[in-house]
Amino acid sequence: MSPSERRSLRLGFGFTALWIIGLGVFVLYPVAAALFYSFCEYSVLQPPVWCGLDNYRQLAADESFHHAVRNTLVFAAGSIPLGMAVALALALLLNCDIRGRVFFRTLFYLPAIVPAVASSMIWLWMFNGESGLVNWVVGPLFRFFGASPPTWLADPSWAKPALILMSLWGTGNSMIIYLAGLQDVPRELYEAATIDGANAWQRFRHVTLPLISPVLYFDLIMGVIGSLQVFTQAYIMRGDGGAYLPDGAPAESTLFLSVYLFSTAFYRLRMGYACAIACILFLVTLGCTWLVHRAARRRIHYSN
Amino acid sequence: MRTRLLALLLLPLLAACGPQHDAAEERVVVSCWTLWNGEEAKALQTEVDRFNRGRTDIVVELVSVSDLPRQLMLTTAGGNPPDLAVLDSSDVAKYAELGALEPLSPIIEGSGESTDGVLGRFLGNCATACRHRGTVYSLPLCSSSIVLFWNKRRFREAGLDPERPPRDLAEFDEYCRRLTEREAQTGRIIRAGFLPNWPWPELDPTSVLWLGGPLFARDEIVFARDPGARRTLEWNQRLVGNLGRDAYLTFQGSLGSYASSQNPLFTGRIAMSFDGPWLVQFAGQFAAGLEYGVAALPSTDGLTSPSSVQTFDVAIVPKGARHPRAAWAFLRFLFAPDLSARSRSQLTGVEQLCAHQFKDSPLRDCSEAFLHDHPNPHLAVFRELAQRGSATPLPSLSIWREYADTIMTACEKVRLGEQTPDAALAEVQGRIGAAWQRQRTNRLRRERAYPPPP
Repeated sequence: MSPSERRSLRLGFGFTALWIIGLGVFVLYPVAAALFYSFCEYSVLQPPVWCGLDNYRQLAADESFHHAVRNTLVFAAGSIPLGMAVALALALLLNCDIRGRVFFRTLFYLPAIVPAVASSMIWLWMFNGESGLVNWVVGPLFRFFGASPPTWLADPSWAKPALILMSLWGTGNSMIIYLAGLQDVPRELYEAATIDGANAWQRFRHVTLPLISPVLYFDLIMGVIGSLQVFTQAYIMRGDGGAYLPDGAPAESTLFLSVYLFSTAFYRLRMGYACAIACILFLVTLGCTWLVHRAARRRIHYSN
Repeated sequence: MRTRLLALLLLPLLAACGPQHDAAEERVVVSCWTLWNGEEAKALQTEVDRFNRGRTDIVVELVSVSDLPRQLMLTTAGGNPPDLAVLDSSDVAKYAELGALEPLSPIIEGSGESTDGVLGRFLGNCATACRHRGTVYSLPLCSSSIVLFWNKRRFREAGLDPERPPRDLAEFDEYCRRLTEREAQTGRIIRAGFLPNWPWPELDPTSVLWLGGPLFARDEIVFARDPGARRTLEWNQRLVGNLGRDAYLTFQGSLGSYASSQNPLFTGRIAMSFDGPWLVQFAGQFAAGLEYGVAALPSTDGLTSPSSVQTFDVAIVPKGARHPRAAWAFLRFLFAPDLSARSRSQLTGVEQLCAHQFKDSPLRDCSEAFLHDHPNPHLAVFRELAQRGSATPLPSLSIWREYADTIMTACEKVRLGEQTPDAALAEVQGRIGAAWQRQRTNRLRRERAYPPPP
C-alpha cells in the first residue's frame, strides 16, 4: 500500500471511528454480553453465575415460551401478507393519475407516523366490544349471519386478529416504498403488454409484480423482522387502561416473544433467562429471513 | 501588570477550591422514593416536612416515582439506590431473595432499640409480613384488607335486605343470581351481581386465599392439591357459566372507569365487589350520597378460611443505601405517632399517612382521633379483621408475581371455557412448581459460587 493510500485509509478510519466505536459499544458489546448472560443465572442485582445450558433447557420445557413462539408466528403469518397486500393495493391506487393524489398519499401515510402508544390507546377504544367503532361497522355483518359481534381484545379467539388488523395502521411506510417501486416500472412495458392484448390483471401479474419484486422482497424481510419483534401494541393493548393484567391477557392469547422477554427481564428479574429468549428470537428471525431468501431467490427480477 | 490582573482574577477560584465549612453540607440527605402520588404523596410530604423542621443533622427528600420496582432495580444494580423506598409488600420477598435489601435488624439495633420491641408495636399479621426467611426487611406503613362492598340500592331493588350482606358462599352465589338483570330478547346483561375479576384481576389469587388455599406450605408449591385453588376455579367457572361467556365479555367491556363517577358499583351496574379501603375514598369523591355497605368476605361454609386478605405498603432500605441509619431515624419518627391526638388535624406519623389514604394503621396502639375521627367511616370493619387475625396476608414468596400472574391466567382460561379446572390446576402446579425448583437450584448455585461471609 502506498503512503498516500495508507493516509487515505487512516483518514477514512478517523472519520468512521465514531460510528465504529458506537457500533461496538451499543451493538456488538450488548449482543456479546447477551450471549454470555444467556448461559448464566443473572438478575442484574447480583453478579452472574455460570449455569451452562440450563436456561435453554428450561426454555424447552417452558409452556409460556411455547405460547409466545406460537402467538408470534401466528401474528407474523397473519400480519405480513395482509400488510403487504393492503400496502400494494394502496400504492397501485395512488400510482394512478387521479386528482388529489398528493392529498390521498398524505392521508394514507399519516397513521404510520402516529406514535405507537397513542395509536394503541385509540385502538383500545375502537375495539371495545360494546361501544367500539369497529363493531359499529362490522356488527351488522355478524348479526346478519346470526352471530354476535366479537369482543376483540377481551376474547382470546379474537385478540390476535384484532392486533393483526391494528397492524395495518402502519402500512403507510410500505405503501410509500411500493409507490416508489411502481413509479420505476418503465411505461413502455405496459404499452407493449397492452398492444399484445394483456388485460389489467395480466399486466399486473407479468409486468408489475416481477419488476417490483426487489421491493416486495425488501418489504417481506422487513415485515418478518418487525412482526417477530411486535411489542408496543401487544403490551399496551392487553390492558383496559387501568387495571394490571398478566402478560398476554386475555388467557395468554397476546403473549408474544418480545413481551415475554421484557417482563422476564425487568419484572421477574431473570436477565439471564431473558437473554436466552433473545438469542432464540434472534435465531428464529434469522431462520425465517433465510427461508424467505431461499424461497424468493429465483423470483426476484432486477432490472439490470 | 497583566500577571497581577491574572492573580486577582484567580484568587476567588482558589478560595472556592478550599475546604467548605457550610453547615448545610454536614446534614445527611435521605432520599425517599415512593410509588404514591397525588394526595397520598402529599400526606407523606407533610410528615417529611414535619420531620425536617428544626433538624440540622438529617433532611429527608421525597420523590414520587412511577414504575418504582423497576427504577429501584436499576438504581440498586447501578450502586446508587435511594436510602428509603415505599413499596407494595408483595415485592419484598423477590428483592430480599436477590440481596437487594438491607436487613433492618442491625440498623434498628444500632440505634439502641430491639427488633422484637419494634415489631411488637405492630398488629400480628403486620409483624409477620415484615419478615422473609426470618429476617426483617421491611416495616409496614399502611394496612389494607380486601373486603366485600355492596350497593344497598341494588339490594333493595332486588328484594334483598340492604343491611345484610351474604354470609357464606352459597348465599353469595344466590345473591349474584338475583342481582343480575338481562334484556329479555337478547340475553344481554344490563346489570350484574358480581364479576370475579372486577375491578382487579389480581383478585384471582386473593380469591384462592379467601376460599381457603394457602398456596404455599412447607417450602412447597401446593396449588394442585390446594382445595382453595380448586374451589376458586370451579367458582369462577360457575359464576361466568351462569352469566354466559359472550354476555360476560360484552358486559365486562362496557364498564365505566374505576376511579370516576362511572364506577360500576357506584352506578349500580355491578351490585357487589371485593375491594380495598381506597374505594371508600373514591365513593366519597365521585358518588357522595351513595348507600353502600362494607363487610368481611363471606365465609366458606364452615371451612377454615380467612374473611379477608391483607396487603401492606411497606418501607424498605435498598442495599447500598448511603444513609441507612438516617433512614431508620425517619421511620422511627413515623412509627411514633402522637397517641394523644384528639382530632384528625392532630394526627401524625403513620396515623396521618393511613388516614389520608383511608387505610388502617399497622400499629397495635392508635390514638382516639385515629379510631373515631378517621375519614373512612368503615374503619372498624378493617380494624377488627386485622386485630382478630381473620385477614390472611399474601405469602412471602420470591416468585409471588409469577405465581399470581399464572393464577390469573388460569382463572381467565377457566372462566372463558378455554380450560377445565383440572387442567388449570395441573398447568399452574407444573409451571410454578418448576419455577420454585429453579429458584432453589439458583440459590444453591449462587451460594456455591459466592459463599456468604462467615
